[in-house]
Amino acid sequence: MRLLKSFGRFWYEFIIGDDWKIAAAVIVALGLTFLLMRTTSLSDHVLAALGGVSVALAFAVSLAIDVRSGDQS
Amino acid sequence: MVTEPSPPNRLVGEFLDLDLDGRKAFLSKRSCNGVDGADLQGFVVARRSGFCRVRVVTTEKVNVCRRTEVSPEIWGVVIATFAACVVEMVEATTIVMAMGFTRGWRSTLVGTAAALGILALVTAVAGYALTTWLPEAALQLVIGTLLLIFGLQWLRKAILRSSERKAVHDENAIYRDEVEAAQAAGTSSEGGLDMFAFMVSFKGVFLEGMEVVFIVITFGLNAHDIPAAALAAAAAVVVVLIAALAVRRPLSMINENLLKYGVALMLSSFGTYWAVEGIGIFRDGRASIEWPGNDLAIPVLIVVWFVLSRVYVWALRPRPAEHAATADHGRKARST
Repeated sequence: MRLLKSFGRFWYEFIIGDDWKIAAAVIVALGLTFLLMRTTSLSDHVLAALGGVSVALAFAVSLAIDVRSGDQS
Repeated sequence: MVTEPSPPNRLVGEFLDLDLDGRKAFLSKRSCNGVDGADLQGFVVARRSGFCRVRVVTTEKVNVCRRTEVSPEIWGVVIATFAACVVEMVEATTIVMAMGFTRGWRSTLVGTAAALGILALVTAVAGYALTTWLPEAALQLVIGTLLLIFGLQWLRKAILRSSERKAVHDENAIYRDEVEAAQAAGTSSEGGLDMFAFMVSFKGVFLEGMEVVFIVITFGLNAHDIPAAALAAAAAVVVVLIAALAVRRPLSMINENLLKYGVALMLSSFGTYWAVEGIGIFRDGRASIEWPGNDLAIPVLIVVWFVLSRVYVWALRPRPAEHAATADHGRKARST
């Protein structure tokens, strides 16, 4: 059990690292792109561009939260 | 993309003559090759102008082109992997040198070699498993998402450091901390090895190296050239080791923060490109989402992320009034 826990902690720290907000931002942005793909009939090019924009926006939001909360670890 | 009808499974293991008809064939000096847009993978065993003979190894997966010349994408992979590996190796070298000079070199180098061995094994096994079992769009989604998370974490730190909101990474200070820890630690030896030096150097190299392994696998897989990415990483290891041996002190003269910023831009751009492409796995036909301009979108994304990061740095940098307020606050605090 302890081995499993430390295995899980290693991967959490490796992937999520010291700022979970970035991982959350990426998941939210890709989720939005997925929703756009499923619910609209946008062309690939428009979808890709909107996907990129949503990643940039999500990153900006996570950075703003960091700066406002003073969490700059 | 031109799609070749899937050849029947009985072709696996057999030779197939393909008329290239102007399409790209990829003739690598190293290993697996295929034909652009064809539903097969195989080894090119002979090639002439407009024709190639392939020994089919699978008919299940659409291969992506590998060009006869080194493509800009491969160069991007090589440069990004090399720079990322230099950054991680500089950090690992600081730990290794602190252990070596304080606790002795034998145990330190054994720990380092053990970590490098395991990292090489992980690269080979994970690389093989991922290429064999995951469909392309799924690979792009998984790889892209992880790259994007790594890249944006590095970019966030780079932005905060450039805007003076976070302390700049200082190898000399880390070296001093490691030396102090090594001197304070007691002795514990097993099999003639100093276990403290062994474990610290093993952990340092392994943890820093895991990120490099990840970058080698992800970049290599997507460019269908893991050997090129692995070679770039190995070259970085050699360069950093030679530099460390030459100066015999932490490599603080390398502008690690700037390098990390550059790597962050590349990881974020490649990550955005692949992750968005990979979302196509969830639609009928599981075809990747196509970016405008295909691969040309990658340099555009690099420029976009660079411009955005400079805007964030500019916006987050403390204004002169804030500087003055901070200094004033400091003076008052000292006077009380």
